[in-house]
Amino acid sequence: MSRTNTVCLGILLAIGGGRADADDYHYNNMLIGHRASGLGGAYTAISDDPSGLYYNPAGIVYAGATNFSASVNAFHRTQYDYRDVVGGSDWSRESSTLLPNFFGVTQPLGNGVVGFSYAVPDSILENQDQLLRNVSGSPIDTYIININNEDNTYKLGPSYAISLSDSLSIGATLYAHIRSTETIFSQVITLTNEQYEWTTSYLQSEESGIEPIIGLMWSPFERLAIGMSVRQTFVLSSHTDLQNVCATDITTSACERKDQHPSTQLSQFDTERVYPLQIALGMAYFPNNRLLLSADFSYYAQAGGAVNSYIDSPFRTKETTWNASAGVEYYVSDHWALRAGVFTNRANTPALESGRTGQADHVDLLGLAASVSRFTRSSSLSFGLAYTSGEGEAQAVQGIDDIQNLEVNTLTLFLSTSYTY
Amino acid sequence: MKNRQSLASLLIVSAVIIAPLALSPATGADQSFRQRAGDSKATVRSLTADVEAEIRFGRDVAARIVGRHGLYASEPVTRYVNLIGQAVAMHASRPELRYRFAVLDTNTVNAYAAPGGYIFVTRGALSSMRDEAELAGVLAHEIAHVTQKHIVKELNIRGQDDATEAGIAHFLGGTSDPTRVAFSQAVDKAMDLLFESGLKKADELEADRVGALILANTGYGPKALPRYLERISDGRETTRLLHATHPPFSERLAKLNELIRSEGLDAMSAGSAQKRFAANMRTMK
Repeated sequence: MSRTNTVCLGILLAIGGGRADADDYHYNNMLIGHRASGLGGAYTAISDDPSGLYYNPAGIVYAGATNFSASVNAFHRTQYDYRDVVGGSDWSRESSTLLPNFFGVTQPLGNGVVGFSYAVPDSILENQDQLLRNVSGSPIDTYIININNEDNTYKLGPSYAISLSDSLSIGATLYAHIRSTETIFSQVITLTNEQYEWTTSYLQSEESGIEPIIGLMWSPFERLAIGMSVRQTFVLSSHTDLQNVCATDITTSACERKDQHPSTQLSQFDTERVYPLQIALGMAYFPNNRLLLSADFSYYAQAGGAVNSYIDSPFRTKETTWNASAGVEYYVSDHWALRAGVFTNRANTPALESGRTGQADHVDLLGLAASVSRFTRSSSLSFGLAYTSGEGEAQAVQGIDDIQNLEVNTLTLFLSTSYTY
Repeated sequence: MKNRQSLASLLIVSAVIIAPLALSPATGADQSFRQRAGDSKATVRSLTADVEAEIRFGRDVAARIVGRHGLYASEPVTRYVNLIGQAVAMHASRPELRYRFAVLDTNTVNAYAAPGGYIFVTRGALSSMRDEAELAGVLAHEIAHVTQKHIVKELNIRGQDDATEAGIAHFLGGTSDPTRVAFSQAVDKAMDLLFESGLKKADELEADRVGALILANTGYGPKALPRYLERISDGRETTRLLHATHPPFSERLAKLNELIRSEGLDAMSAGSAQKRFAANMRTMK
């Protein structure tokens, strides 16, 4: 098999093998909540507003108002740049989405506080077309890649929390988990000798389950709070339709037929993703009513491990990993607050090894977040951003043991509102 | 299968952890250090709106109280209670409120204060009183609940925020009139506080303390309130609700007597207007 044809075949397998998904290789892709986002997600020990329904439901008993609601609208952009993929050319994948990514409301019920929230912890909306011409060092004349990819994860459900003593509270959230994926991929390669390969894939997947969250909030000392939450998503139902069609006259292609007639592959499967058990520990210090310092540490157990013969990345084993965040909030006046945070979004994949193929991306991301809030007596308006960046390694072309440098950058801009009444 | 086994394990562990905690008695949490500089900052404009909201809220609660027991239809008794109440209220704070007093037609021994200055005393409570000072003492205790805004603070009753930023926030958040829903829920909660769960112990003790001082300022002997409380602390059926919604009478009496001693009010020479009280109560069944 010539190197040129190997490249073509490899790219075909790469996409057909399930690369076109949301970021399954990180767990902290979008920050949730108006105040929490500005603090880099270091919110487990604070959680005293509707965002707490997501981070640590035990904290909502300490909400400053009887009734409280909050919503966040976010613009989320991700960019993956794979360096030197084909003949020295880079391959870029970009996603931009604008969505309401959080809504929550709390109010007293009995001896505790009840709440309901909706969160979108990950969202990808990718519409990409890329054209490469006269790929250097290869007989490729034209290389066209088109991808339309939508992958959203939704969480919605009730919460309840009660105060057990002056310094201890407990809460629980039961989220319904819904994940919906639709990917259309099209690839056309023409060689200088006028041979061609055309591939199109359609993947549609629906997944549903539940995510229980149990939280504890404890204040061992005045002005200090310690929070803990335990959560895991359990997939109860999953169904995927996969259609691959290709036509080629390249004899080394992976297409079943090489006589210019289309080959089709129609598959359906119910393989269920396995999400990790996540334990988050947080600490917050409230030195006065203007300054707040917080830090979180999250541990993610090993997950995945299901076997699927059609696509791999959603189901492969995810390594044990962790994330950390720290944030500071300062009220410059009674009506203006500034927040800043730093956080990680570490890969749940092993470092790539030379000589192997089919390895997952491995990039550890470091993020910065900042927000500014304007308060009135019963409402607040916040604007903020979160930026993450990291460099790592990837094998963009599966079936070949080449390792590429991968640069990842994400940006989230959010506008949020909250009210007490 | 692995998903379901993990879920079952998590649910069992959660139940084992949560069940004993959930059965533990709930107590109020003191997390005041969480209060931020930007929380609920009032302006002069919003303070006016707060008073208007309190009066509107109190009127709704008062209507529910009247609906529950009905008014005692005796013009002379109602007039007399109002005269005493207005005299006491003149020596209380919050001149922005107009206090109103009424007698509820029930044998149970109790008195109620709705926000905004709506004060009720029951026919049963009046029957248990021996002089005007005791009536003034009970009314002073209820007026103190209003001046100290116990229900207003407990339920966070306040006027609407008409700041431009608040309007923008409501628009962007896509909400519509949540205040009205919260208002209705708060009226239910106020009725629960008055007739079922009771106010916080600290609030009741504060109402005793402030009420005793108002009573003394009005010119009545401050011992009238502990004297009345002592008389109705015998556990008779008509005081069952009063005991259920208030701190132990022994504690209230101890605190009141200590206050009277420490403030030097025990030596105060003041009338009780026993004859006037008896004359005005003569028409009561």
